[in-house]
Amino acid sequence: MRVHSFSAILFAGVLSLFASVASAQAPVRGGTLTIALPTEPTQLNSAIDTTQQVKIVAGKIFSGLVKYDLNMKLQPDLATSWAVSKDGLKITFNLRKGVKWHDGKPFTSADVAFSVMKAFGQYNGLVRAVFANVERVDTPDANTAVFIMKQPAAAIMNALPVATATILPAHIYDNTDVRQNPANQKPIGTGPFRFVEWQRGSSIVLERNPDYFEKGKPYLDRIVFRVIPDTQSRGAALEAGEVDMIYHSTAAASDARRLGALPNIELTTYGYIFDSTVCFVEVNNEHPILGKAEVRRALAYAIDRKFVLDNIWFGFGTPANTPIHNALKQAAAGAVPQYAYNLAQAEKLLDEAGYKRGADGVRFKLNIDFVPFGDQYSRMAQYVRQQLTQIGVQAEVRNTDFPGWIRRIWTTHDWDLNMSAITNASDPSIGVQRAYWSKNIVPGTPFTNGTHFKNAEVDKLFEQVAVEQNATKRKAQFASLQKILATELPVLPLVSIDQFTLVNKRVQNHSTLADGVYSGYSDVWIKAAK
Amino acid sequence: MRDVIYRLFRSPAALIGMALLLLVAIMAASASVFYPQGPFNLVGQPLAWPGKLPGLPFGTDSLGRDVVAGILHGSRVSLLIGLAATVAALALGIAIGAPSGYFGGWVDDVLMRITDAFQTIPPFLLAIVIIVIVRPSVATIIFAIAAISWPAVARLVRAEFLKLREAEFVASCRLIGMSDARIIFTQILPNAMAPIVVSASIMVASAILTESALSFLGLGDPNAISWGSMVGMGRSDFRTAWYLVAIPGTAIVLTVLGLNLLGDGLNDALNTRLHRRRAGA
Repeated sequence: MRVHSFSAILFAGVLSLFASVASAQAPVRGGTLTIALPTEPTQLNSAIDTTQQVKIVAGKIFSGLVKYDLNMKLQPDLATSWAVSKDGLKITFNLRKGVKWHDGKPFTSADVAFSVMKAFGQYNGLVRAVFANVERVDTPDANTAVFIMKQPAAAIMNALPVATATILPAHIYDNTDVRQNPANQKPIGTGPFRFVEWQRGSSIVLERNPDYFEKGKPYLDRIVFRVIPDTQSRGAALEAGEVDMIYHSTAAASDARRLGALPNIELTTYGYIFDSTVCFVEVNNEHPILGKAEVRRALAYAIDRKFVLDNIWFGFGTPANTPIHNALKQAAAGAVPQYAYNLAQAEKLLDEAGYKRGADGVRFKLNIDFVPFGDQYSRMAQYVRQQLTQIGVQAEVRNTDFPGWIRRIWTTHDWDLNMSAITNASDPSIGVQRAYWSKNIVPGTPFTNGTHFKNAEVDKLFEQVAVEQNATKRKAQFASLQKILATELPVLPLVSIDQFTLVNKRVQNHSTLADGVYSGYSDVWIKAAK
Repeated sequence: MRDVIYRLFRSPAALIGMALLLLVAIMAASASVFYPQGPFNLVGQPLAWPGKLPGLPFGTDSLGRDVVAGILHGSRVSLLIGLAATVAALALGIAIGAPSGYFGGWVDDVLMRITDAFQTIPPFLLAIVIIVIVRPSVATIIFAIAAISWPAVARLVRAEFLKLREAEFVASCRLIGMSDARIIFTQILPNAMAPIVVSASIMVASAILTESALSFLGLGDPNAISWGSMVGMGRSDFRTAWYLVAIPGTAIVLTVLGLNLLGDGLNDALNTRLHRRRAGA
């Protein structure tokens, strides 16, 4: 027995030695990486479109000014160095020399100025607000771009990677309608891969850019994106080796653990810091009953977040206490009110709020809506309805298509509870503020403040963190902000979701940057089959 | 009539079909007896395989709901939708087909062109369009299925009426001054019932399948469990918990099989020519 365990340890030691040798292997050139797309993009310009299937393709074709590694350290991309003035009102970028667009034209500071002022600064739904702080971009020479700010923007560096601040070629886009430019269908970038062809309904093919500015990279010959709309088929294609990668949790969560345990498949949750998503129950804060914070707190007690995490998200995440994702360390929550699962407490609070059970055991009735993406949100709706039944709140689940759901939440505002999630993006000033800032109640515009939550303190704090230059002070402001949000509960936070990638183990270096699958993949290489 | 029942009970296919349907009827009737709380209660650990937990012979679904409760309550929704949609489609089909066949002429032209218009749209797509426009609920699903099933009935009824309006007994009714409505409802319709009854049994089956397909696509009533919605919900867990698809799937198969067998049996029993030929042989 002892001998056995000793030899087992020895064997394990030898194995781990092999493993470390393997990971230190030098990258090999060549090979095709195949990535499964869950839906087909409508175009390929990520400066004007924040959907993930646009970002994952465009991220390989275009470049940003900077990148972030997994420790959130800035790394050069099109900018080789940068300096922020003390007052935060001037940011100078020194641009890489000798970079060429895929059509051979030189990349210059004019491209940066154009992209900030006329492309993503105008049309990118996530970072538009951040870049609205840029007064103008000065271009003293072809290799220098200077952002002149109206006021400091704390999140601006976080907004700069390619996925959101995609640098476009001014010579193609200037003086055209950026959103309708034919180049959106056949993009021309500076990134590691060039666009080859797009077969509608089937695939998008990219090839190595031989003139890429990082010498010797990229390693891959080609990247093929295959459109596979059916969840089960995507899993089967990965298992069969027909695709190498399923990203952004687009395999069934229940199936992901099984797939991840296969000998040739790796399951990772790295590379989604910039897409940190929190799922929650949104509450209509103008509802006559739900408008009262004590009622919202009662409902929070009735929902077991651990159950939601384990059985609806299959363990991919952590229970959330606030609407800010715990991966965003710059905004870590301090001590906030907790609502440990307790049905008796929920009933007590409802009684105290004056909503006693009627003769039929019912306190009041509600409707539950859910975002019609995947299974998770409809399952959350089913679960929440069942929990509410137990505390005497009768709820009906409504099934709506996506446009109808958007109309109901943001236009007609005819809803009570809504199962949903929003990405916090790379910073709460980019991804979170929009949902709670009372000045962002914009009827008709999706993913604005749809709960109609209004709190002067919260407004003030969001405005402060947006311009605060001192990280410690900013963190303290975020802590106060989250304390209020966790007390007032404009939404009931459920789970900080960990997005996952399933990838064939032959693919190396795929999650080395903060924007993970949305990055350029110049470092990715494929290990030859043994 | 007694002959028909006698022949029906001598047909093994019809007997098996009726036994299956009786079983489903018992399931539907007993749902509230065994599971008065309904099918949505979270009773135990989610995704527990059949037999793993005591008292849960068919296991639990992804939220920990009892699959047996879902099957029993789901049989109600599936049967209700199947029967109600068929009755509605029959009523509409007869209302259109009977005058069309009986009067002929411009009445026939107008009514049949309307029927044609409906028949040119792929039926399942039409059902999806209707459900997407109005909110999915049991009532709207019944309406959508009836809306796609009636044209076939109308065609069938019209053909029967075309044939029977020339029959001698109809001529004699006209001769004694019977009103058109009375002739249609008391004379021709009873004699045209045989093919209508046979097709009705198949229509119930196809209505159940249509409802299952709609629920499978997520267009079912989210506040009611049906077998189709159980299959749809279980689908994403198929590789790890295939019983969630297999159990309601089997229930659908057996019910549809029962209805088809009964339909075949009815066809044989009502088709007197076939019966005579058999007797003669």
